[in-house]
Amino acid sequence: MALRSANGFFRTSSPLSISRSNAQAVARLSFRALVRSPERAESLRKLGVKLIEGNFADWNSWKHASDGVAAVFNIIVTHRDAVRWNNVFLDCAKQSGVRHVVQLSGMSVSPKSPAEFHRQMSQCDEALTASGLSHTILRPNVFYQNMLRFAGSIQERVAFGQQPAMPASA
Amino acid sequence: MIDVRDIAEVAVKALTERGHSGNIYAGLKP
Repeated sequence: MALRSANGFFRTSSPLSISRSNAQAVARLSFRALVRSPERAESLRKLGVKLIEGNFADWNSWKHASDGVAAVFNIIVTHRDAVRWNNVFLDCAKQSGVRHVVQLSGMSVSPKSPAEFHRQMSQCDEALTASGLSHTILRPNVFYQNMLRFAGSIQERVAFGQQPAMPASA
Repeated sequence: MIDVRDIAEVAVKALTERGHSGNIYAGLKP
């Protein structure tokens, strides 16, 4: 896998799995995840991840999840309130002393994008940059898995259909 | 396009290694 940065290319050794050296680094770490439903995150718990039950809109949930955490992998969620929730996260991360944030954004994000989610990711990237937190932003292109959303319309009409609307509730 | 799992190694490197602060890593255009 290769990703382009301002300084050149960022290459990894294996496209489908983490390398042995990274696996060893990961094995020394402990993880926690902020989840709305621990029942639905059972597979994470079985991997040794400590589940923090909470609500993305709730400051205390983010604070509880980020207290004592060194680094965060932040995934921008597809939701109308994603930017507001992300700002709550950034506030808590700063207060909790998080040292580094890796944010999963997207390719071609822009405040002028016709896609609402791309505008949101752009805002979240700008907020992270302005936060003063040490950070790395990942902007991958399209995931194969996203194509599964169109399986029905392709099967029925041999065409891409509309993406599902963003959820409105937390 | 990439497999969503491909992002794992890059994320782990950025989380655990020094030298990635302030960087933006963007996918290659299809």
